[in-house]
Amino acid sequence: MEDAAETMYWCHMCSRLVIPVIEDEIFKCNFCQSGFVEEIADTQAADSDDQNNDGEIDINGQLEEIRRILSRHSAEIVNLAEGIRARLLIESETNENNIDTASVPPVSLGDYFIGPGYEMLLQRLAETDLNNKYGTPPATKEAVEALATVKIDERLLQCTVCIDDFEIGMEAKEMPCEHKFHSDCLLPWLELHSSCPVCRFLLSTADDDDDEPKTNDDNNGGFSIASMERNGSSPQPSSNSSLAN
Amino acid sequence: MQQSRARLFKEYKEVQREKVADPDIQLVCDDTNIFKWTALIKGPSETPYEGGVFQLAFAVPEPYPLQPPQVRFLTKIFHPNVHFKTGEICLDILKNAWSPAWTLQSVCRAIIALMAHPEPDSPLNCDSGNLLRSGDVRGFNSMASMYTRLAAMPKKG
Ligand SMILES: [Zn+2]
Ligand SMILES: [Zn+2]
Ligand SMILES: [Zn+2]
Repeated sequence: MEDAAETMYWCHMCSRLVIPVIEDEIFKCNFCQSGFVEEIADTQAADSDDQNNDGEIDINGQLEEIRRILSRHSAEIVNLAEGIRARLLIESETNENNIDTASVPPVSLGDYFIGPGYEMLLQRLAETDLNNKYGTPPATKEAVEALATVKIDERLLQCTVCIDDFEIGMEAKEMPCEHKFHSDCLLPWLELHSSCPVCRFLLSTADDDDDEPKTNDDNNGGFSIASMERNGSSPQPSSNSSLAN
Repeated sequence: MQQSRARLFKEYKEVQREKVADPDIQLVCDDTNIFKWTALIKGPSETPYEGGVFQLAFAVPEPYPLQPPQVRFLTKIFHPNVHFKTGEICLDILKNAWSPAWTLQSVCRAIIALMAHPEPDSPLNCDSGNLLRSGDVRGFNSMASMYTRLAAMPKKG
């Protein structure tokens, strides 16, 4: 419970906390004598408050987040929110999508920006992005129907979607890359994306003009662990091959 | 919903088993909500985050693992691919490159790798992205270790 707002100073030459000396009203580092010293407020107090009630975002934080999103998506945000609402209504009627929207309570647009609706908006934005913009498009029905059903004859083989081990003799769906999954685990994924969960091998998609298998090289910018993965360096998701442990 | 619960419970058991195996990651599930997790990760050595312990918050969506978890830093971190205010992380496997074969544990490993290999060309933190892009590695390192010292280390010292 120390709340003494102690001022601290950071020397950017020494990269460390310092106790500056004041010469001619200029703060100088007591180690290197440089003037490249920055006063740092005791931000840790605020941070540890944040961490204590984890998950609960305070109003200021929320407003900050909203401003951020507003500046990123500009006027689109209102359209988006409207669109999401409309989609929620349609989805709950047609129910063709496997995303469970029936459990989503109705929300007013106002709720989106304050209170519980707000987190849902963020969630929805993420989902919209995920389903429509990011990742590979869904696999075609034909490609899914053409998948082989095989009997598991290997010990310690894991379905990486549910991370359960297969039992010998159990039936599984096999991708052309020979990765195997429970049918109930693989098919919902292929309805969203055409890539193998383990190696990203692509089944044909509705967008395809040819049937040639290709590898997934799209990248929306951002740091690419996926490309590191392909180059064989760590880290990797759990592999579908026999487990060593 | 049932599938995501079952899968998360598997991960929970896996985490208990692996705790010793990966001393850099401590992944904890909320006592009352299996869809909320936090992780403590160690800043990778030979980076400005070395010596720091960083807290991550996970919100797992119901369609998990068909959709990625939402992850953000709760601990302040000065990194080009982490939003300085919100802790939001720009990482492909949390977006377009997500695959259900990733687990919360392997996502933590990916984030540690991101800490060691910043990508200044797709910044969420423009200041640090600019520092790195302009080649001011020293300036970047100093700012990053300043915030590590401030926010990610025990107060005493
Ligand atoms: Zn100095
Ligand atoms: Zn499975
Ligand atoms: Zn595969």
